[in-house]
Amino acid sequence: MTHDKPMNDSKNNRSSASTSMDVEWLAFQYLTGELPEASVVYFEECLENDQLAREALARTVELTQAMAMVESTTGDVPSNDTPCVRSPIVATQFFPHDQAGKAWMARVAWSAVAALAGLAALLFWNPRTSPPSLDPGGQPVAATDVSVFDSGELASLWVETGELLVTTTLVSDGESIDGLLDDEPLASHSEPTVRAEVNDDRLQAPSWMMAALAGFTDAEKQE
Amino acid sequence: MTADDAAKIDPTIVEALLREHGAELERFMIGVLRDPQLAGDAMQNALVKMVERGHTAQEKTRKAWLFRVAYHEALLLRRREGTGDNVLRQLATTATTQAGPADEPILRAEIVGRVRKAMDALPREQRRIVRMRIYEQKTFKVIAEELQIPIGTALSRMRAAMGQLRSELTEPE
Repeated sequence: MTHDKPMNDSKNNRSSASTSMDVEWLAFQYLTGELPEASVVYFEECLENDQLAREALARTVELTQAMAMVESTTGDVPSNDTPCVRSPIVATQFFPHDQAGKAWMARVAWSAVAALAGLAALLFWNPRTSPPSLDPGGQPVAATDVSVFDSGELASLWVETGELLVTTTLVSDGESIDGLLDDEPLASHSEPTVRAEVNDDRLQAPSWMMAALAGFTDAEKQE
Repeated sequence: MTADDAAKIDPTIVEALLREHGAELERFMIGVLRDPQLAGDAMQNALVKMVERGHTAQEKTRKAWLFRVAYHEALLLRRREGTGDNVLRQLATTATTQAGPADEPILRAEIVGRVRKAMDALPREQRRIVRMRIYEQKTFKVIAEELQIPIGTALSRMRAAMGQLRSELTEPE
């Protein structure tokens, strides 16, 4: 015994668009599990007996699949849609990393500024300052007090300051920031190869400084 | 030849039925079981029965008979296995990877493209409901609460959107 409508009949007997819509809507609610229990029983009776209802369910699955695919491949919320739904997720996922990166960068920058300030203070004010030399007009020339540093001390200050500045520059670089935003510990970012290269090429006291220091040393010996 | 052999349907007829209705049948099975894997199992069982007892169905009712047999198999499996609730997520993830029994994709790229276009044309408030229900998988009750609208309004917007999308799909391009 069967109550099935023949295939052709199911096409011909579509009573109206609204009836079809009702079945399709029932099918959607059934598919998504939001049909009240009594309606589930009713709809499953339809599925048992009515090919129209079965085909409606199949069409609903197809449409819902397509809608889910569209949404999943679209990615983020369309610009004119509901950004508030996604923004909290975005915020909790990325804001802490961003803050951490900025805070770390700020610390390094402040350290560099402090080191520069210290260097400047040492250059212009030092308790070991020798009596100021006089220019031909008899005026003291403070700038020449650089000579009071021995070459090793000045070179060391240069290297320390330079290292901080170079670190700051690296942190400002896009790749380094990306790296910092990873969950890896900061220690892992101090890659030996990069550091060695920096020490070799960028943190050496420049030749002009070494030459100047040698000149000052010679002058001191002559005195 | 035994009586059982005589009762069996010609496999070529089954093959033709499968080619014509396989994808639709599988979608129907997914709708009942909400699980593509189980739907495949139910289809196989149904096809075995179709081959064995196909003679009881007349040609013009063969498709409906196939669907009904498959439905019974689905109910049997559902009672045995139970089904998950995350049907929407499963639909999205399996649609791209599965193919129908006749090597017809369960979901054709062309359909997805048409639905995408139709969704773009939906009024903003309808598209918002669709997104929340289908992609975020929120219930209509939650959607209504979040949007501070009556649940009937959320339902009617979704229904209107579904109707619009469906008409886009059924209309020839």
